[in-house]
Amino acid sequence: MLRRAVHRIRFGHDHGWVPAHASDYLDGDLGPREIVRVQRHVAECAECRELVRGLQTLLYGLGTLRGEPSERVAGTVLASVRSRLRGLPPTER
Amino acid sequence: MTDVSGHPPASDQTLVRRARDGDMAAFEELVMRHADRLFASLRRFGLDDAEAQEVAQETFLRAWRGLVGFEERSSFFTWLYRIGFNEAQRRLARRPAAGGVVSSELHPVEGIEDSRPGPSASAETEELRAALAKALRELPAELRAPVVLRDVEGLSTRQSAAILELGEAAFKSRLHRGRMALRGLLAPWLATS
Repeated sequence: MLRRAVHRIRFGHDHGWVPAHASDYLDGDLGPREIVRVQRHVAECAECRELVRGLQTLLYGLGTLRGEPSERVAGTVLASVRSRLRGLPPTER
Repeated sequence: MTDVSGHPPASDQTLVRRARDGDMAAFEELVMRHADRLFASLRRFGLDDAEAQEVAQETFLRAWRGLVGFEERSSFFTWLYRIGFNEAQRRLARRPAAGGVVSSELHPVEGIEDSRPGPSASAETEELRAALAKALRELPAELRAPVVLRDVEGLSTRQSAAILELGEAAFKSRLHRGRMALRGLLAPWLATS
C-alpha cells in the first residue's frame, strides 16, 4: 500500500517534470540519473512516451530541411557588396 | 582540401585578419565562403528570396565596416549570423502581423490529414518537408530562430545562443517552447499511435 502511494506520488512528479525536460533529454543535456528518470517514466506513461517520440520525429524532420537545395547567391551577393563598397569613401572601404 | 594553388584554404581567422588590414580579396573570400549558407538560413527563418538576399548583402557590408571592432571572442561565422539574424528579425517585426511577438494563437498547419502516413514512414517526403517549413513560418520569430539555428542548421546550443545573444538557459527554454509549439502544429504527423 505504501509502495503504491510512493509510486503514485513519484509518477505525478515525473509527469510534470518529463515534458519540461524532454528537449534536454533528446539533446543529451541530462545527467545519468535524470536520463533514468525520463526513461522510467516514459516506460509507464503513454502520454509522455508520445510526447518524447513526437519530438524525436520532429527533430529528425527538421534536420532533413538542412539538406534541401538552396539557391546559389554568393556571386550575386559578392557583386553587390563590391559595388556598394566602391561607392564608399576610402576611409570606410 | 587545397585551393587552386595547391595550398590548403586559409582559415576564416586568417582571412578576417587579412581583411581587417584592408585586404579586400580576403574579405571577398569570406563572402563566397559564407553567403550561400547565410542566405539559406535567412530563407528558413522566414524571409523571402529577395529579402534574404538583401539581408545577406547588408550583413556582409556591416561585417566589413565592423571588422575593426570584431574582437574574435566568437567565430566569424557566429558573429556574421548574429548580424544577419538581428537584421532579419528587424525586417520581420516590420511586417504587418509579423512574428517577433509571441502569439498565443498558433493554428494547426492546414492541408494535413490524419490519414496520411506517419513521419517515421515518410519523413523524407516533400510533403512532410513542406508541412515542416510551413509550420516553422507559423511560429513567432522569437521561437522560430532557436529552432532554425539548432535543429535545422545543426549549430550547437552554445553557437546558437551566442548568435541570438541569449544565455544558454534562456536559449534552451525558447528552443523547447518552439519545439513544443511545432509539435502542436504538426500533431497529425507526429502521432505515433
